[in-house]
Amino acid sequence: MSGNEFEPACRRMEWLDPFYKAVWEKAYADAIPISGTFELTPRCNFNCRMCYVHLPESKIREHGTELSASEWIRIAHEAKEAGTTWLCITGGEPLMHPEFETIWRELTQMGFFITLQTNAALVPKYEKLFEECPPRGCKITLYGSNNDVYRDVCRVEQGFTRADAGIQMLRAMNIPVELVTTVINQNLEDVDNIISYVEKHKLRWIPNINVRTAGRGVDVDMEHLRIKPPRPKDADVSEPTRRKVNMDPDRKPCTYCKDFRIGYWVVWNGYMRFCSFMNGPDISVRSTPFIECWKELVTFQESMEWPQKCKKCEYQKSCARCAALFDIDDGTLKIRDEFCRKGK
Amino acid sequence: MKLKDGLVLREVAGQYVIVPTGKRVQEITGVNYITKPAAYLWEYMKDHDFEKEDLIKLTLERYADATREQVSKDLDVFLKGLAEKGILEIEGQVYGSFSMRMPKQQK
Repeated sequence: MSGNEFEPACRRMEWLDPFYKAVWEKAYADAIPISGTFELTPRCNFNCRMCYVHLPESKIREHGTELSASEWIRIAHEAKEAGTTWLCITGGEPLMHPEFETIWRELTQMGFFITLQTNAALVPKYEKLFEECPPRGCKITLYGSNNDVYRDVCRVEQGFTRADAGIQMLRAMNIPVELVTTVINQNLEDVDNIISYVEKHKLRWIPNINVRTAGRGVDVDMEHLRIKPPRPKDADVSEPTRRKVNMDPDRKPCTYCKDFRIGYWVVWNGYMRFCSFMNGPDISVRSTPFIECWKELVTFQESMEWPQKCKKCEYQKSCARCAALFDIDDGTLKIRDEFCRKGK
Repeated sequence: MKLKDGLVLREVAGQYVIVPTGKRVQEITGVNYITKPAAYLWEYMKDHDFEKEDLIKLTLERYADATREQVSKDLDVFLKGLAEKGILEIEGQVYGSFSMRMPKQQK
């Protein structure tokens, strides 16, 4: 069974505007890359414990070189030609790319709906740029409600003060802001204060507890960071806390992703991938035209299978998993022990 | 009338959507999409000052079975929609919002 015989995720989204639905259906049917993410850099002015992308400058070379402004702009033009309309700019901290201003000025003139993902601390440095070329929306990571929590989570001084200054500047500029918080053991007790901050400023907030290591050169200490979701008082302690799932053994790994056949990532060292959590495939946008990379990515996604061990596993229907929980080794999925339910 | 600058019409997976660029991002919000016949007119509108009559003429030339009356009605809706969303540059049009307080009714 080929990948596109499974229905696109939009059919389960009753609330979706008819325009989006029509676009999604057609993009899925024809494999049009309507949605992209440009991960500009692994650099960051913060050093968050749960980040799987950030590399110190001294380590960047070990994993590749960043794409230059002219390369990003060339890729953006080709992506637009291929159909990309929604574009997310992220990092690391994207504002740390040495040529961020050049990239941003160009991309915001091209005709994308752009969302900027940032920790907001460097926003004041780019005030003039954002006044001239405002983002359509900003998704901002908020990891605490004070500098002590930021010191513990992001391992920086004055982190909250700086992030808050950026958030307030964007609000003053009438740029839509949405906050995202990864809750880990180090900021768990601060969640009520974060909620108070969100309410005070009437912002949209998306909390999550997903902490993953990603095989991209950064080790995330999942064991000491991850919180366990609260268990109802009358729950059976022998049962896992995750909701029950019913995985279809015939479905290929990538078909579970809503970006399947419509979205992609270009990671900082120039590879096109279908998920930022993955360490492959290494389809180089640096040396190959965008559209060729996209075709290769779709073929790769459709051909990818679960590992044999999963196919024979007694939990294959009940184990909630997606391709991002695996490593890619020589073009195939390889089980990571920390994510294997049976292994646990 | 003319279209504001800084707007890009994109065809995405068979649909047509108006994407604001630069500062227009803050002025023209939401997702504004138009039909294929409207997208055809947009190609003319983006390069010219125009009147409704120009658009009627273009449409009737392109769609042989269209009636002048129906095209005129459809264009009224189309142009009104563009004006309301701030996509048209109209001389004398004032942007912004206002509120007024009605005096209490006399007893």
